[in-house]
Amino acid sequence: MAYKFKRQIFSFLDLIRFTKIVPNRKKMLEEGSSAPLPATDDVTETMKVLHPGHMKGTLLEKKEVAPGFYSFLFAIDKPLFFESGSYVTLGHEVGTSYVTRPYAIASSPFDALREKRIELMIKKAGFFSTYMIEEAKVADVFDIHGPFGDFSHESLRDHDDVVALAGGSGIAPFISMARSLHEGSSSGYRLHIFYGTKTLKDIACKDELDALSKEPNIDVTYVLEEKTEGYPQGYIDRKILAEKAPKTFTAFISGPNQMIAFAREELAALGLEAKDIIAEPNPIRDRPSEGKSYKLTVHIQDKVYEVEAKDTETVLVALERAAIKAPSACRAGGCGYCHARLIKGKFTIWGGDKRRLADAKFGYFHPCVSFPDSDLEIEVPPAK
Amino acid sequence: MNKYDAVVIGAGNGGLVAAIRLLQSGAKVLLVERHNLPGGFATSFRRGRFEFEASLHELNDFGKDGGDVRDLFDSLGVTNKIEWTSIPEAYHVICPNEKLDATMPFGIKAFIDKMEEYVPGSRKSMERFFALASEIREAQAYTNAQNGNVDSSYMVKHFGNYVRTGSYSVKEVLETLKMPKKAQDILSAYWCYLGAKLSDMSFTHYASMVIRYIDRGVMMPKGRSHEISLAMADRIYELGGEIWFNTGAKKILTGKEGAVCGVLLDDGRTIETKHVVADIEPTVVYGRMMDNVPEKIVKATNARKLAGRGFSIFLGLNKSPDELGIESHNYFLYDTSDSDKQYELMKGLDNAAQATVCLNRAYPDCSPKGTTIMYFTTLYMDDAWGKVKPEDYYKTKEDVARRLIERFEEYTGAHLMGNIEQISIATPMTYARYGGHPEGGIYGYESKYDDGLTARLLMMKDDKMTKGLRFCGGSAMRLSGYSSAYFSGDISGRQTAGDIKRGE
Repeated sequence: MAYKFKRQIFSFLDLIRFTKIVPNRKKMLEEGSSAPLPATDDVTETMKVLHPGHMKGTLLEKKEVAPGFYSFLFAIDKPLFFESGSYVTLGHEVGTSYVTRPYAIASSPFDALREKRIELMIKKAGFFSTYMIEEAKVADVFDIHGPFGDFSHESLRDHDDVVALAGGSGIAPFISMARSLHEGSSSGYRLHIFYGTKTLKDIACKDELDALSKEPNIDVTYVLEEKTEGYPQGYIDRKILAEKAPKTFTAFISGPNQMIAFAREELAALGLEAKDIIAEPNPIRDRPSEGKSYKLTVHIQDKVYEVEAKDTETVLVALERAAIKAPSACRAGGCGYCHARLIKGKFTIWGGDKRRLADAKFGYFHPCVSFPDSDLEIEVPPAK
Repeated sequence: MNKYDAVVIGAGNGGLVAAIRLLQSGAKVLLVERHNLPGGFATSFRRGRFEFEASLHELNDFGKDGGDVRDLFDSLGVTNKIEWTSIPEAYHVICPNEKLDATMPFGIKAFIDKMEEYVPGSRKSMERFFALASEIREAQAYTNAQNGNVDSSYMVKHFGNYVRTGSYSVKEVLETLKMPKKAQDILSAYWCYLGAKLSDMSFTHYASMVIRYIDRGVMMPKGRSHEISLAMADRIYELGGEIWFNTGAKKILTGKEGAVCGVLLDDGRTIETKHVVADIEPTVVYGRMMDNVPEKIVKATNARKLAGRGFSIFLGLNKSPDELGIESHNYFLYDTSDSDKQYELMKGLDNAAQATVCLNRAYPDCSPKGTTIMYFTTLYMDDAWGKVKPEDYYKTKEDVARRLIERFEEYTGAHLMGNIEQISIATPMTYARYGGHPEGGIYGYESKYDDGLTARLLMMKDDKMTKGLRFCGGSAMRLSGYSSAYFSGDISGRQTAGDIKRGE
């Protein structure tokens, strides 16, 4: 005979207990507090400081820190605490377009938390940087979004010595790291900055870096392309690293693509494992192409737009050109923030396919690194 | 005109299923999701050459020859959109303080045989446990099919043991079965999946979960849980539904007699609808998204206890599982097998109890040759993370993660440190950020004595306290977990379809 459960002396008592389940729960619910339900909680409030998301940034100061290389100081409307090495996106209307670009935060975490200020550094290079340098004025208000990125020291992954290889404007995240170690908002590692520029006057924030290098956990080596008295000449290569870097270290690389590729080779030659080389890819730029133009049909919620897409530009740039506010962050295909759905058409991904497996299977793509090869119909979520 | 028969808020596991059910009934449906992906916790993310599973350890009740979840997926029309892989063993539980180290297989017979090997004399009590568990699962299937409108004499006649055990905790029933202590300890390893201690957790809840894992087949989607979520989204598009991502719902609007009349979105637009299915905790819906909430609802919502807050570590390692010394797929590592004591230990930040998965042991090709993907999860039974200040956050999460990883190394003998190529750490703040969950909870409300599975199933009708509003997801009538959330979406989706047909 099948097993029959019995706990009480008489089986019917187990059944009677069952009939009490509902009255017991009803009683429990009736006895709840009539105080207002919580609108928030401590974890949620802390989360908002770590991930404020969309901020308004008012430009406080703009100054040239090296030829063609500018510092922009913004007042943000929310407190922020970030890990040095993070970036934010900076967005503004430029002519008839709405454009955003990622920039590493150069200022310190406590500055963002306590003074509600962040500093970005921008080198004159293209469309948006030219706008920022030539047209942005103090008191202008920008959209700042973030923080994002995985370019921070991780004590469980990295060695206690970090070698920071900076090429030109790639110095910004390392200035933040040095400032953070100095003020004590981060700790637990030593930062060895190798800062490569063309000439002595191309070094940004040299006085401050020199002062920071007096800290026991920070040192700075300048490497100049132009022969200069008192400075090593050339590029940051295996020779200078073998000479000046510690024996075991984790390398962080930030700079132009060519510089990153060169640094990777040099580090590999020194025997560094792949896991000890950290670099975030730079935004994808134009694709050399025939200059064909396609029709791009864009669904956003219940609205449909038809815009032009050039085969030299990413789908994201086509959206920006049409002043469609679409989500974007890294512009290198990795963060997934611009995740969109392909309904019809063909595209080519540049810079490596960094989508999730199922994204590729179900036709999702990252407009920031995808170039149109036909007319396209896509669904894009609205930028918040 | 923005008018829909139903709006589903939240594209988590429950919301996705509810939307499909509503579409299958012919309703015009809008699914809004504030994140840019479907799935809620059922998602994945890339770091370097690794794609990490965000939360799924394995999907239960999904056998090759059936299973309640597979049957549900079949009827939703999503099973074949997904590539599945199987799971080698049920779990490996280790508690060195009590010299406990057991690896349990799938299949009732194999499980009982193995238990007899570890604990001679346990067989009879184990057989009785599984007999009860089978009956409980069948009773739940019946309750589901009846949408909670059960006939009590039918229940007593056909599912007598469900009724007889229904009011007891796991601990009370296992004692009654005279199960040897060590067998109880091994059998109860899954408890942290439900996040309530065994003296509190309803037996029916635990038994129904164990049998779904042990007897009903267990699978994993190759493209991580993200593949399930995208398959569901794909099905929604096929059925003519709409999903608006990056679109948060700010308010659920009510009109005459407090009935739902619309949804106000974050962007200021109003969607007209009489029916909302919320894949959100009632605490959030009634606390943040509705005005003039009746006192009865405020009390009933305040009375409930938030369940565990989540913490996870995702590791991409640059050596193979063999080289690292990882034997099993699914580990439970406890300080003590006394869940009452362990529960207390899981209130502090020094908690290192964990459920840890090596994905390669189920799916060897999940990462490049010579590498390994692992994910570690623990729960906090109190709001310990609420006291962590922003400026201490990064240091705290690394310290906690280090303790968990070192605990794994200590208990299993594996060597992980020094081989970490990618790491990502999710804290209660992360879960609050992506899911909007109070205190970063990942399990809804606790499976407590008075608020357990049986009680919630029997009170589905009473819990519908606002006309036009139903709930699904981890805080709903089936409680938390993947299969539970899918079932809750099925129930609330079908019930809402019925409400629409009846013109309510």
